[in-house]
Amino acid sequence: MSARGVVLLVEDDDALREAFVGALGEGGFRVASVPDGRAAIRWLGEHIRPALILLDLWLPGMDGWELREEIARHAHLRDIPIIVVTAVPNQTAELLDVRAVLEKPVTVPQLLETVTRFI
Amino acid sequence: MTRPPERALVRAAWIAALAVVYASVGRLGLIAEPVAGFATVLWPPSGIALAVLARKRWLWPGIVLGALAVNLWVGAPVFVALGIAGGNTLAAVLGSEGLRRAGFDSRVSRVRDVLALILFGAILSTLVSASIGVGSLRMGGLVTPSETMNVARAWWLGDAMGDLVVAPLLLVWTAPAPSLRDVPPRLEALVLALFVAAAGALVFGGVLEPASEGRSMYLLFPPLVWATMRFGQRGVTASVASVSTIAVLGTVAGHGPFSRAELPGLLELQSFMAVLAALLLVLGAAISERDEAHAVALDARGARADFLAMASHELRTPLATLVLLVGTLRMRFAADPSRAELNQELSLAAQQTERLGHIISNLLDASRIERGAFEIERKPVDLAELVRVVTGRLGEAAARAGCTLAVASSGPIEGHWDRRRLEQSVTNLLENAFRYAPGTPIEIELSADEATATLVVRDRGPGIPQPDAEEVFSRSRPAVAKRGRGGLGLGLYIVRSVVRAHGGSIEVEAAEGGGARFVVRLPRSQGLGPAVSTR
Repeated sequence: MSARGVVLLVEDDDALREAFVGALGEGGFRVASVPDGRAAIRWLGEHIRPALILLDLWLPGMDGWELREEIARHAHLRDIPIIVVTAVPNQTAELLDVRAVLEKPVTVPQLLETVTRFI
Repeated sequence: MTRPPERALVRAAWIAALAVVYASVGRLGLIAEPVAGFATVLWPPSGIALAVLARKRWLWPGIVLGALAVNLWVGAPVFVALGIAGGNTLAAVLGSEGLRRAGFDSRVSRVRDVLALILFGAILSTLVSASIGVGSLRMGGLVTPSETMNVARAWWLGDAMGDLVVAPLLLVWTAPAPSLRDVPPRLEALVLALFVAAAGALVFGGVLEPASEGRSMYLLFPPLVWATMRFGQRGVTASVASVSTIAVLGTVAGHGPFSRAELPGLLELQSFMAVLAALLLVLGAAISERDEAHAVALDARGARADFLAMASHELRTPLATLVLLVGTLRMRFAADPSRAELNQELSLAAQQTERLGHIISNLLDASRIERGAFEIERKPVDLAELVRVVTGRLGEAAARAGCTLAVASSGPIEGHWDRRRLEQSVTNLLENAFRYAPGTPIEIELSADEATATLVVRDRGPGIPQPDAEEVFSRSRPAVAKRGRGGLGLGLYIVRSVVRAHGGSIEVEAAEGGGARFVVRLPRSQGLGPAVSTR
């Protein structure tokens, strides 16, 4: 399992973040979670590259869109697959330049299937 | 802060300025064929006095001085001039006080403002000025008893004209511009001004044969109504003042429909213009009230839509948490046969969270529709396959409602539609049937010709009484609520919005043998529908 690497989850709502960690854990993924964009940047500077980033868009401080751009500026982070999980309507993977967009609420099978596809 | 002596000086200067304006305008008015030297067709000073005192009561000495000056100027004996000046001032003071007590707003944008102006300004205050003024002339021996009635009428109507033409002109144009109305382009104002002038010149300018001048009066109405509809009270006051000026000058010069006999003609002109001014002011006020009510309704609607959008967005985070938690628990215990009961309860919890999700999506969609932010994305879709997917997904819900689902279709039906929106619409139609026709068979029929795909959902429930048929698609559904069937009733509203956004139609009819029959028709290609992207 650990060969699949770590999923970095960026989500500001505590309860939802825990629920994500539980669901991904049930699917056999190791998860590191942070509450906002700045914490994500810090985490990326201090740890080994994650296998995938699960990203909320509306975040305090640095939001999901800004984090997406910040990651694209770094050559060694640029190709980490990103999946956006959001309640913001009318977002598409092409529009955000990410691998996939999941609309909240997302079901556990949907989540695990999508993460497995891109990891 | 201004110190008292300075303020007194400033006030004195204003009073003097008002007196000069009043006297000069009055002198100009009296050039135009006065009756018995003192009563005139249009007496602008009465309007100036009313408008000024409606704003600043303390300016009344300016009226006294101005009226005194103008009457001495045209040769009235001192005591007559004093009487007239007193009457004119009293009229303006009483009229403006009446307006103040009636809650008059100087934008004249409400019908009640216009009515107050007519009652206190044009009718009551002018009776005071006319009776005191003509009384003074009589006492001075300047009118004979036989002339008195005609002079009094001319005086009264001349003052009334001032109050209906000049006072609103000054009040409306010095009040803050109405913000509700989109200001039409300057070019339109220019063209309108030309039309007003042209109509005035045609009717009162001696351009036409005298015989046809009377018949040409209707020419005044189109530009005046245009001014009212497009420019509100500013348009009314400016165009009525222009036409009145042209009419008075033309009539005095012997032209136009009112020029035939001297005095009765002038009185008729006064009555005509007074009625016209009053009518247009009422019309302008009614339009502006309607605009305001419309703007308030739009604001309320926007606020509700924003609230719905915010609320449903906020609800999604806890819902997403619940969905994940329940899903994780189901996964964790699914393989454990000793937890059958827990698994059943978790499955129920999952259904309920899914239902909650539908309700929240419907709320969000309804708010998007109301804000005009509802978009569809067309891609090639097979409607028959889409219906199979939805009926498959809703199999469990149908079973819970005791309904059976039967789909009749002859093969693929391709079209350019928004797949997600159509899935949502078919889901809403079927959920509506589950709710209102539980325990009955539900039939779905699909058919198509070259241009149109048709989807029919038929249930065998109680049906919908014809008078209420259209109402089931509306945002609020009193008739349905009356029958005690709860729910927000957004499902069919969204279906109709989706269908319309595709350029299609939906109707509901009584099915043969009882129940309701929803018929959805969708154009198969994009070109047939109206523009859909409303953002």
